[in-house]
Amino acid sequence: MLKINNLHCNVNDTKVLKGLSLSVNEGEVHAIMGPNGSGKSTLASVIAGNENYEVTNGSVRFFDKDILDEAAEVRARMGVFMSFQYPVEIPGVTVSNFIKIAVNETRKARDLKKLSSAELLKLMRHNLDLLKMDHHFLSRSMNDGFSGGEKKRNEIFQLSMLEPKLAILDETDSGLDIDALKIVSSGVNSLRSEKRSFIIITHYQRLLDYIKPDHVHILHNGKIIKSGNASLALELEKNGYDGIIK
Amino acid sequence: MKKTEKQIIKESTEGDYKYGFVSNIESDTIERGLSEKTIRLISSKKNEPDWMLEKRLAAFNLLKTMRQPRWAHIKYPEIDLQNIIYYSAPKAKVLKKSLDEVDPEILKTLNRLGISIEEQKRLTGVAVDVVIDSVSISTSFKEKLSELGIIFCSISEAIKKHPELVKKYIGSVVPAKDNYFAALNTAVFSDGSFCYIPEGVKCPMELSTYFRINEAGTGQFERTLIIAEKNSYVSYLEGCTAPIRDENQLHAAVVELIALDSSEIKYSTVQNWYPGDKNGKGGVYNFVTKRGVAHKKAKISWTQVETGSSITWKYPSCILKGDDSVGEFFSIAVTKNRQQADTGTKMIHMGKRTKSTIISKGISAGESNSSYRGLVNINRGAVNARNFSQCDSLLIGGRCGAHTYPFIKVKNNTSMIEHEATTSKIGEDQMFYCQQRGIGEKEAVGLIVNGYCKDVLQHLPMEFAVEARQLLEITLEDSVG
Amino acid sequence: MTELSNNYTGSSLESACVKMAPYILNTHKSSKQVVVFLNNHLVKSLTDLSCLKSYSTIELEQITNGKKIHGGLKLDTINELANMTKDSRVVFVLNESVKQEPITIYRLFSDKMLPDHSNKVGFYIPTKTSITIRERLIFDTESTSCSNNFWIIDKGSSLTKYRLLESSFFKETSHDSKESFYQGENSLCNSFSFFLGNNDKSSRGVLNNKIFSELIGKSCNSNHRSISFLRGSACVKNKIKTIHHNIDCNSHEIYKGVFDHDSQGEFDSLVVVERGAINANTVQKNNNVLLSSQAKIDSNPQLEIFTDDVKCSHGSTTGQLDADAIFYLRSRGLSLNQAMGVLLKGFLTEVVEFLEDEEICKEIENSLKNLIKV
Repeated sequence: MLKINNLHCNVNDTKVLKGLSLSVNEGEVHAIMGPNGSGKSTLASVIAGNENYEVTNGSVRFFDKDILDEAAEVRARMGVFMSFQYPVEIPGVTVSNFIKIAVNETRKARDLKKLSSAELLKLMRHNLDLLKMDHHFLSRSMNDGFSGGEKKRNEIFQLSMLEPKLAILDETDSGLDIDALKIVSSGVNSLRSEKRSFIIITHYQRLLDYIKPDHVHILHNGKIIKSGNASLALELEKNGYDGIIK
Repeated sequence: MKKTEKQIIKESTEGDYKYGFVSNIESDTIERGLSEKTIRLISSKKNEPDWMLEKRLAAFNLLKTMRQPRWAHIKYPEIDLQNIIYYSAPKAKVLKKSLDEVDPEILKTLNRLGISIEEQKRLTGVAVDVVIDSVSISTSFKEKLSELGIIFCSISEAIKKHPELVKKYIGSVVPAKDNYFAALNTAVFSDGSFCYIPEGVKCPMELSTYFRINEAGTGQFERTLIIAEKNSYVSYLEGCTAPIRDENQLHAAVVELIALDSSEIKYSTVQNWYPGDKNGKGGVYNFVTKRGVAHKKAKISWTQVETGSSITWKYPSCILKGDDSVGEFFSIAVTKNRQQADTGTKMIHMGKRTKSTIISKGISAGESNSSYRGLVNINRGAVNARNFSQCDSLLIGGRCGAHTYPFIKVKNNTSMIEHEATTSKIGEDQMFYCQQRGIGEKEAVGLIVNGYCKDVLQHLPMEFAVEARQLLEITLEDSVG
Repeated sequence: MTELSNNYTGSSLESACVKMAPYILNTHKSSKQVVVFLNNHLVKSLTDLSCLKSYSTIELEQITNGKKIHGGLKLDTINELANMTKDSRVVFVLNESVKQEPITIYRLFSDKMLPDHSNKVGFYIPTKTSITIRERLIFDTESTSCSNNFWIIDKGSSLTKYRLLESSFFKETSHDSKESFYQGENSLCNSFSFFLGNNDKSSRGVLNNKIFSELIGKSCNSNHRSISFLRGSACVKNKIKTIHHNIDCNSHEIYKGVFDHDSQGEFDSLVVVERGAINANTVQKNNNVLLSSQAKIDSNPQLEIFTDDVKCSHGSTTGQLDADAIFYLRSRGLSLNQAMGVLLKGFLTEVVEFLEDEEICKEIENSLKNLIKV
């Protein structure tokens, strides 16, 4: 479904990605690991379509369609979801209203009929229960005054509502304590399916204890330098990045 | 030698004003009054070239058409320019090569001020250019600085030795027509400092000048010009104390900073002139124009601790002309008794991605009035400019006033401007907490005020910060209860 | 009740008014709780007089001299008030309506009718009265019109007031408005002003909006909230002065502005806390979003504090919509316009959420929707 070929990308005139290639099939879970500054978050932002990142070479194809020229919202409606490392606070906009607009826009693009407020509310409550989240959540302002854990749970909640084909989790484990980590990962696990793929970006192995990846890639200096199965993450845990990078 | 808090309070309670004494130095003083003749006299006494005299006379003609500004939140009687002595120099017969040649009375004065030149030289590595009244008496570390090509001398000397630099830059940032006091200063300035840092040179020590008003009824009209060439750095300290006078003394200085591409100028001031007595009698009138222009990627940083003067009218400003230039203003202004302070800054954003930060802390006690007045002006071309301002006022006692007048003008939608301000009294819970832990009321005020000012104090050079902290405590210790 | 000679009567005036604002006056003509002014003069035939308890100069003297208005008024302020009201011809004493229904005041300005609109109009809200006003300003004029009102909110009373300008105002009209609020002990003033322009790029209306608020009694609460949303080269200048005369008073100002094209805004607000007016709590907030590179804003939130036991704060921000937030929203499937709309709506919530009047709330939301186009 996702095919990245020889991707080069600049941020503020600095080369960050230098020929990255990656291929993800339906239903697969890929973990991308790497030290700070290796380009992990850049990769997520480029796939999601952040305009601050300038692609200088290469291609990103999603279901055989080049998406690099598409706006962020078009990609989102096609089924690309990114869970932000730092979810943005939007004072004055409630979670429920936000999700209502997002869901119905996505449905419109997919030629599905709009959901009524009542239908949506029912669905939101149902998904909140699945994620063990309080219903009061819906009437709060987006991420405004949320704790770190609440913000990450809000991201997973939106993931559950938007039903994307590809979900990219950018450092979803950062800033979470062990209990919050368990809740978030069980939420993610419940959303896994044969049709939905995940790219999990993380610095540490610990998230992968809870979400088992099919493939693990090590990103260093803007390129994937090693790929393997879940055991690669364990090897990394044991030897550190230095052991692999040499 | 570090004084304990108790000692400081004791000293300050025993004497009204620590630095209130008159030194008996023989002076060369001209008659009161201002006329073309006075200006010609000043110029000739200083052996100035004709172009300088012409500048002075032009400024004097402008001055005659101007009026004293009245927009500030300060009250004072019209200043009579004819009742001021415009030139007073200690009689120096020959130029001195070492301190031994300096009038022992002057050295005594300096020692009583606690800034003995030897001490300064040996302990802190600060090159001190001491100005008593209007003429530079002694400059130290000159050789060391000149090895690096740094020029640090009196402005009079610079006019004679480096006319091309002075001619090019003087009045380029603060033209005489800028305001009444700038015109006055340009017409009659007696002396001041000149500083030139060549390209690529980082000045290895803090350059410092201690100003001191001495002669009765003498107006001080300092002129300071600092030029930082490309990629250079300089930190400049200005500190002031003045003896008690019943007659109000006018001080109208002009400071101009020129920060060329990628250079940085840091300008710090501790101002502790005689503030007048409890009834508002005496004290220095301080009308100062300070402004710097920052070229490409240059940075200008103003830090000030203002505790003295009966009237302070002062707005150190930055013109952020070059792309990516940065302006900063950190200020503490303390007023008590009947002091009046109207101070703040102007940040003029012209270049792209220019950034400015303003942090102002006003503390009012007694029957004083303290105002913050600031302008943030984002011009149309200042794409992606950023400003953050925070202006807090603290009130001690129910008879003082604290005022905030920020002006924000935005003509570019890519800019981001944030301004915050709070006004409050010292927290009762904070006071109680301190007292419950055995800290006396006065000490607690000092402690809380110092904490409150921390954001600004940390921008002062080390030794200056210590002095400023002590000054805050001394200033405020009798304002509670 | 004394009849006032300068009030408009007669059918020609009535028809002039109806001609000016037919869609409103035709529907409201027979309805209750409507007060109509044309060029600052009361149009009796269109007004439901039951809203007004009485209106006369004699009553006014009683109000200003007697203790009726007292509420901790200082003597010099009473005198000042007397002087101020002396030359104004009318002070309307507002009658509390039975079911707390809001009173709608139509203020029509036309240069086709009598050009004299310098008349000062005052409203008095008696003790322990709670009143809601919808004030609608409608213009049929190309010259600069002006209005000068004052509101006396007596001890223990509350005024909630919504001021709306027709969006067509901003096409090419100019108006100078001055409103003064005098508040007695324990009184509450909730004022909302909405200056919502239209999508016409050639709009060039100018509104000078002066608000003068005096908190005279103890424990007054004063809230002024406003939204300006302008396009074209329209301009709104808010000049506000709030004076705390007495203890335990709170004043809140929230002014939000969205400026597109060449439009410009000004927020010039001064809060004064007088000596002895302790325990004052003041907030001045001005937030602006500039949607175009040609839009301009001046923001001057000023404070003059003469006593120590106060909590005063002001905040001013000006900028664009946050690029990160826009990307976040787009990554969730919203278009650029939708993302901007959502953010603008969120930006304006701080004012809109305080609207208790459902009809007004709907109307404002609709106008904003038209402007934002989500």
